[in-house]
Amino acid sequence: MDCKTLLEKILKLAKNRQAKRRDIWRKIKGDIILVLCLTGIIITLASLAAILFDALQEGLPWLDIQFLTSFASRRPEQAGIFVAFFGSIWVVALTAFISFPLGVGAALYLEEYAPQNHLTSFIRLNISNLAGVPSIVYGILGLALFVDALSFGRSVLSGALTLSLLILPVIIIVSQEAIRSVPRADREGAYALGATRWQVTRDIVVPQAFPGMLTGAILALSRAIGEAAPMIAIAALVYIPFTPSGPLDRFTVLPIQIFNWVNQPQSEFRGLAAAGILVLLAVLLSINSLAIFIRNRYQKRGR
Amino acid sequence: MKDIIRLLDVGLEQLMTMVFKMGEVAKKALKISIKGFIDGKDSQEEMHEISEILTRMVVDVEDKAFELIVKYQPVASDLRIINSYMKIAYDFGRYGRYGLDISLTYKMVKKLRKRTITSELVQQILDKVVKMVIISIKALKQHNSELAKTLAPMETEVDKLHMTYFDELIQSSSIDKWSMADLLVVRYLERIADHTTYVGESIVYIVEGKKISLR
Amino acid sequence: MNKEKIEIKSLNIWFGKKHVITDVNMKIKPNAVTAVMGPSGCGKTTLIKAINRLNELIKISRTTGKIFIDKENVYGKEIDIFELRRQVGMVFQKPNPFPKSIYENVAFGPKLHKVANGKELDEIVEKSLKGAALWDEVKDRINDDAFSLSGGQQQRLCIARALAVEPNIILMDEPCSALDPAATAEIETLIRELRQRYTVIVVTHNLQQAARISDFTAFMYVGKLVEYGDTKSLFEKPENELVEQYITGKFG
Repeated sequence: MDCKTLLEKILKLAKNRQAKRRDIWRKIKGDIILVLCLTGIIITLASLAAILFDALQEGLPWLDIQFLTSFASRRPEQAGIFVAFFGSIWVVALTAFISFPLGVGAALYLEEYAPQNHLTSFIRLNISNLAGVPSIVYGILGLALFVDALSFGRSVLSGALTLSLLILPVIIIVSQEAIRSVPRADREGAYALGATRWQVTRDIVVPQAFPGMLTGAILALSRAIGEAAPMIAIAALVYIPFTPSGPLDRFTVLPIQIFNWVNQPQSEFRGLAAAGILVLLAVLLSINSLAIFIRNRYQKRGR
Repeated sequence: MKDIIRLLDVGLEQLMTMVFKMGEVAKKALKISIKGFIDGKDSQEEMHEISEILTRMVVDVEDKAFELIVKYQPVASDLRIINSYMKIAYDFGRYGRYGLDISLTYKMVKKLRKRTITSELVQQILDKVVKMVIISIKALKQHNSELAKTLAPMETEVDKLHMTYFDELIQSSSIDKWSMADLLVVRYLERIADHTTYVGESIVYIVEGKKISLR
Repeated sequence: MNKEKIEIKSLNIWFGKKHVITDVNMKIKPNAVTAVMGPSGCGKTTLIKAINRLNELIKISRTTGKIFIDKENVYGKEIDIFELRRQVGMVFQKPNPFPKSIYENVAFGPKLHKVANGKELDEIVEKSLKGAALWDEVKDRINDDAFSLSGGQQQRLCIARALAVEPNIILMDEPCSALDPAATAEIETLIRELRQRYTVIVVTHNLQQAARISDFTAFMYVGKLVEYGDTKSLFEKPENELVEQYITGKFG
């Protein structure tokens, strides 16, 4: 074996070793990233688990039929979540009633009917902005507009209207996405059969977009149910000993009640607050499950 | 629009070359048989060989044409070319066939003593028909439809000469036994002239897309 | 009968600043299949969409000129555009059945125009599916989802859907380009049958398909009508050099 081939062999070996080292380093990099991601997930889940565990530990002993059926009270043994629970149900129901048609209607208008000009682009941009406005701002707006100016007072109606304003941008955006996901080909096919714009919207777009819109609305509502700040602004931190019997009645909601209890000096109220949180979580869970159920059911039917 | 060389073009080139070759072979065959007839030589064997070759070439051209049609689904000028070349191959085959017939005719009468008179008309017809054969092949190679159309008046002339020769025979008091052979040969020549006009018609179809009659 | 079904006069179409269709004049015969061919982007689809005014869905489109159907200008002021689109049916390149049942797909059109309901509607659905040569294959599962059908069946469903509103003209935009050869053959056979009762205009990329199914062929190039005549002579000897070059594949 002469010098030249010997040299070539050595160089080849060195290159191979270099390549192997590169591969090992690449693999290590991949592993590091994997570990970082897993750590992120673990920390997140662990925090959630910790909160849940804490709430369960503190609140479970206080969760009983008496708790669920009593009014609020200064005495912790007698305090219950009844009023707040039904207040929440009332407000959320009314909010759904108001915000869903408005949001869907606005989305349909923006996607199907509105012309493409500077004004509409401006509107579209600002809807996204509104989605990010802090909820207390809506609370203050609702106070000034619904409670005072329109004289609805601190009623369920004012609360529902305020929450509607809060979640309307989200519903509009989600509905717009749902409407956009309806393929253009379906619309064209309907137009080619002689459909008017309204017929296309009613018979093609809405049926296909509906599951998406509904899911989005439900998720928006589940956020609304947990909003404390705007509700405190509207309903105030007062003692309400009755459930609402009409939209103009005064009310209180779960987040307010929980907030109230957290602020009480007696330590037992911590447990009550935790129990309230559990009820709130249960409601949220059921609403989200409903959303998933609806979405799955419609997905099976569709494509 | 630069010309894209298509696979079909390669195939068409091959097809056309095959048919041009056939034309040359047929032309040569005719010249041999006619010379044999005039000069008194038996060219039947040679002609028979050439005839066999021409028959095989016709089959090859057909195969090639079908292959191009199946593979490339040609349209417009491509389709006209393929169609026409198939027909022209057949016509060239006929040139050869009639050449064979002419040599056979000679063979049949060669027992007669040497001929004394050859009618001028026969020579005229011979010259004319050979010229038509040459023009048909040239017009094909050039895809020249104007040249092809010149075959029309020539065919009319050949017909006239043919008729005149007939009359001559009928009118004449003494008929040479050679005249039998001459008459047959003139008939064959007239048929060859017809086939050159078919070739001409095909050429016009290739170039202009029109189906005309040159007779 | 030399009557024209459709006459296109001085048609010009712009999409924004782009001049997409330039001065097209054309007379289309009834009860015949007319193919519209040409290289990509030459305006074939835009041309046929001008007949049922579907271009107007594109907001930046502008159309001048006239299109007469049975001597009535479809761009005239008194024209009911929804009635026009009922009379001029359209089938698209990719089958686009609605995400509904087979029955609901076919019944959609008649329901739009409040033509019938109940038993009458059932009859219309059956007749249309038969007209599209699909009835036998779906009669036992007419309430199944339209997407359970194969590609060729979906396209025939779209044809049945178009037939259900009883048009007299049918536009087809490359109806077979998304289908396999067997399904293509089904549709081509159907197109040949449809021409007995309808005036059919088919946009196609496929030369041999145009030669197989059409009676007349129009050639478009960069928005202009370059040649228009009966299919047989056009494919035997086109008059226009451009057309000759295109159909023999000498330019791409």
